[in-house]
Amino acid sequence: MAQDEKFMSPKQQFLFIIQAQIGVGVLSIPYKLSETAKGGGGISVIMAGIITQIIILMMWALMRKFPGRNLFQICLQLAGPIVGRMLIICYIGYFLFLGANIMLSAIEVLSRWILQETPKWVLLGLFSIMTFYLAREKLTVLARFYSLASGLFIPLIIFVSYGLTQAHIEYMFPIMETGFWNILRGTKDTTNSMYGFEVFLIIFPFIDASDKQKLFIISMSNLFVTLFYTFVVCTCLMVFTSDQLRIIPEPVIYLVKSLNFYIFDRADIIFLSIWSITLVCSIVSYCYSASIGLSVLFKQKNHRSFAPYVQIAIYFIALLPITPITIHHFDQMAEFAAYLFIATIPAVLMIVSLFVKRKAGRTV
Amino acid sequence: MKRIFDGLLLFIIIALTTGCWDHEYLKDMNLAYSIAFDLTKDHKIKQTVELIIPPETEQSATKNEIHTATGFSTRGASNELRNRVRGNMRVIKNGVQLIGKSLAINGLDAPMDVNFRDPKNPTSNVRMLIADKEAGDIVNQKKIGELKIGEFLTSKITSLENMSLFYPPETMDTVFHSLKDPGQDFALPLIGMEGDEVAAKGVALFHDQYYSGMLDTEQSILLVLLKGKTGGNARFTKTIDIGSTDSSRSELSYNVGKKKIKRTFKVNVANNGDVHVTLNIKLRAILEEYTGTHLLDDKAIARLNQELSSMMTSDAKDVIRELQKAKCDIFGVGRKLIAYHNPIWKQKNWKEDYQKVHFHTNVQVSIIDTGITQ
Amino acid sequence: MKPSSQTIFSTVDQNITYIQDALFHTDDLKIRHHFYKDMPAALVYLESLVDPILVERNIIAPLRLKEADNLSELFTTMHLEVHERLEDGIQGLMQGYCLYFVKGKPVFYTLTAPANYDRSITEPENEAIIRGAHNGFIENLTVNLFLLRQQISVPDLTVKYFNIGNTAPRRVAMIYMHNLTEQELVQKVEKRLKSISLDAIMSAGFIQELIEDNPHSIFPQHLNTERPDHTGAYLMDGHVVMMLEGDPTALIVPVSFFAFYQTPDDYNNRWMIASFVRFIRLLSFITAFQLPAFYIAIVSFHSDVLPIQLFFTVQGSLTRVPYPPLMEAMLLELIFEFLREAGLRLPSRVGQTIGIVGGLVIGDAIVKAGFVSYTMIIVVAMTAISSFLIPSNEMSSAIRILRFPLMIAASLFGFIGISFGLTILFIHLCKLESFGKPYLFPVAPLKMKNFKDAFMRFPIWRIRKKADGSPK
Repeated sequence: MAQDEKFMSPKQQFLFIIQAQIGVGVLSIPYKLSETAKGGGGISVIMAGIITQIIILMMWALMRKFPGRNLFQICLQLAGPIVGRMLIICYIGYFLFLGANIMLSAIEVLSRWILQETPKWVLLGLFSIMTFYLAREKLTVLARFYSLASGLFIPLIIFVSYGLTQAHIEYMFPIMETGFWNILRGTKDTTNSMYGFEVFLIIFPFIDASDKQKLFIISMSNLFVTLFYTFVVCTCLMVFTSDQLRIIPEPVIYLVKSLNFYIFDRADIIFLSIWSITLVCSIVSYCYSASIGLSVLFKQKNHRSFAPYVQIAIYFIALLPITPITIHHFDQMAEFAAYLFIATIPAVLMIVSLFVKRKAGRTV
Repeated sequence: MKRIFDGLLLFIIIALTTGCWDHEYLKDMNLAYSIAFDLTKDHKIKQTVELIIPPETEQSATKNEIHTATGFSTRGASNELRNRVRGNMRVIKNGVQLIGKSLAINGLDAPMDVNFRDPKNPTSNVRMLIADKEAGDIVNQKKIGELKIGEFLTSKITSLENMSLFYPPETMDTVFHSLKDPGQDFALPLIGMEGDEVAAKGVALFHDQYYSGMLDTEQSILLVLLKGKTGGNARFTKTIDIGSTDSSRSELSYNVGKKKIKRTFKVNVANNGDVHVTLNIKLRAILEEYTGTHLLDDKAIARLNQELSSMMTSDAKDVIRELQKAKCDIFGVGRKLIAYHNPIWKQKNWKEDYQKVHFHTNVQVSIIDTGITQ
Repeated sequence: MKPSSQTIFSTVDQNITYIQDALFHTDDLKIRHHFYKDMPAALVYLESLVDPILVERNIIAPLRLKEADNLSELFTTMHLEVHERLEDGIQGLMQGYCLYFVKGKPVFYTLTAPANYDRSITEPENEAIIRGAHNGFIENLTVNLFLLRQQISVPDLTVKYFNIGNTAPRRVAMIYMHNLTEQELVQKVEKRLKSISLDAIMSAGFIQELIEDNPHSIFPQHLNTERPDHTGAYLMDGHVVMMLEGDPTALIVPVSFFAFYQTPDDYNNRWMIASFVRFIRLLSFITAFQLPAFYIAIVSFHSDVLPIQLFFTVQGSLTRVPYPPLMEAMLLELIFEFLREAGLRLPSRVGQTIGIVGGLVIGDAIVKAGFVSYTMIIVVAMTAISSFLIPSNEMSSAIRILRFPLMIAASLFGFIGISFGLTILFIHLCKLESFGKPYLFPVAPLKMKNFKDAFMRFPIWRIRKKADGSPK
């Protein structure tokens, strides 16, 4: 039984990745796409999903070479103690940064829509307490909470689906209005809402399944997320005209707000309250990854004691940007950091691992 | 766990030291239920607001107060108003928004901006109305019979919607969609004072964001039917000559709103770039009143159908003429062009070209029920 | 009591003196001298613990009548044990045994003649039974085991005794089904029971608190019941039951959150009705601690959520209330808790007065006086009622306490505060484990097939065939 405790089931992995991936980004994808892809937003999202899938394949190829090891241990093994440590530190920085970025966007949305006067540091504090409380737990507890929180997608999807009653399919046409190139550019904007699947690099050894099964499941999660995003984007494109989308930064919330539920008004408040719980999951994934990184770095068995430092770091990073411009810069930095840490470094590691394997084979 | 208690302690400390930021106690709110905007002569905005005052004891009814203020913008007028009314005036449960014709002619974008910008302002349930003269005058009635003016207006609108005078309901949201859609215009209910009574005058047609014309009540119903919608009832009364020999003109009332309307709406582009719109509706009517002496046998009904169809077709053409005169693209012809004939759309200057659209309209009426007598 | 291995003395008197010393010459120690085959013998017992009729009829009478060579032939109707260590005898005395010493024998005998002043097997008062067996556990462990064995008469039902308590040990029975229970679980329970080091165990609550996984949690991690059928059902599901001598409660481990929302009556009802009832109960979990918080959040933050007609109703009832909603709610909740506790401690006839005073007089007067609003009364009353829907008393108290922090959170941040509170709460629930089994099973970790008996009550053949209801 002690064995069981360490691992999570494939079902949990599925929900885990979904929860980690679906973050604050989806609320504003349609807005971002309105600049570039317009009616073809749905296609952009699907393409982003495909790109994500390619990266996932690459990560999987890397991970299966090192059974029972997570990203940090692989770094150490492949790059040697010094470079490896530096890599780990970079990764920890990246996780901290992305966690802070999500938290920041989350409270930005909240303070725009519900709590206009509540100071930022308080909201950040709230989120920090929530994430800290979860991030210091063992992975199975995380998995349990994630699967529990996945139930919240049901009301969220219902809320958004209800928007379909106001949909005019003509708003979406013509799909290829802006041409293929712009749809590709839209893909770039969408990809950074897809982040989160990189926790796969950390949790990979803790899943109770064969390598192939793991790949299948993470692909299914990615498929689900892509479809969910496509659904949301298409709904928004059908409900709002492109002129409207251009002036509404969070069309999903706006959509929910404009719905009439008869038994209660202002559905957006309820929507956001539920949404903020699922957001916690996204942030926790990064906190957890960062504290695992620290525990590998300091050769500790338990990540528990590092969680507070991680949380404090995230809190203060998120407190830094104040004006919308700095927040925007923050977003862009996160985007580029993600290119480097999600795509480039794992790719390099994979190539190195191929080389190392061959060398090892030769010596034997 | 201990951490929970620490967290709670933190909570309480925060609560005691800094108070609550977004706290807004329900008790302290004074709700504006209906708001009227007018344009004054010196191009300021005059805002007339009906405030609902909660009753002193539980069982008694709410009361209302009317206040007026002017300012350079909607929000400006609100701020001015806040100086005068008691307590905290909020519009979070706004039910009706009236706009005077003079302001509507100058465009809706500016006075409505604040509604969309502040998340606390409701949009989904707010009915928009246009007053044919001063909107403030209507709100200033304060009470109509037993009902407070805001209540009266909302229930009035709902019943008019039920009579298909305006349908589907135009709320702040739908107006927002249409305002921001180059290929779709909208029409809002037009009301006005008739002596002491508030009466529906028809619909106000809008082009882009500007008031550009109106239809009378009968035409409004037809417009709703042309949109393929019905609010449940759509009654017409026509004087019709059915007799073959004697000049027996009789009154005929029928309801076409009970049954589903079959509508064909096609937008075609001819080779020369002309836009042709085919708009046919098939109405199924239920006869509700017939004052003639002639027995309504099959033959007579066939004749009636023919007669009514041609009458309503010509009425419909009138309606469309009015719409085109007002440049009001209420059927979303432009939207169809954007979606399906995008290159053509890009060549067009829709403001001018809408009037050049060729409408081919046909209304078919068939009486399917004559009630329990023939 | 320091462990001593004093073996039997050669003379009866020496033995008796030793025992008298050990018991500090307590007056209820009875010693009856007589001769067994002409040898001086003595019967020693505590008269407060033995049944005098039994002693007379089953011990004294046979001794007088016959003279068999072997004592065990004499006492055919009685349980007879042979001991050497006097300490065992003293232990035996404490449990209602009679000691029989015969001069010259290197051993002494213990004979059972326990007094039986137990109450009869009656229906437990705090767990109402609508349909089903109308019996309940009593203060006698043997009788309780009898009740269980009667239900489950298979050899797999295993009982293990532990004596817990350093100075005044009491017997604790660990009961499980040998073939159905995981060995690791049994070992875990055993280990924890053995690790208890306390002078005396006063009640089952002691055991509960000493062996549970997370004593700082507000949620109960043992299921308490006084119903044998309930206990039996859990035994058959592979759970471990602990019972303390002299305490009618059975402690069942491991237990999941949903177990507290189930009653054995569910299985006596038609399955659709039972599912409905169970669903209602789980709904009450939500209302029992969220409703006041929700109301506070709406009234002080998100009034725009209310539809317009409701808005005026609520506003109308609030106009005369001088306090902020949190104060108002706290006041009423406090009054309610006072009334509840008062009603609980008073004899049932006086308790009714409390209901009248509390419900009618205070409820009406407090609104008229303008301390709280009618809507708040509705909210608090709803909350109170839903908290009583929960079959388990402990769970219902836990839920009742939970609403206070949630109310504070709601009054600080509105709905976001509630989200925050709920997140923390559910993280905590996810963390909780009852003897290594996740507390929120089968929701987290997710096991769809076990939903059949958690949220709903599917037809019995559906439940029994696939899911076994236990977190295995």
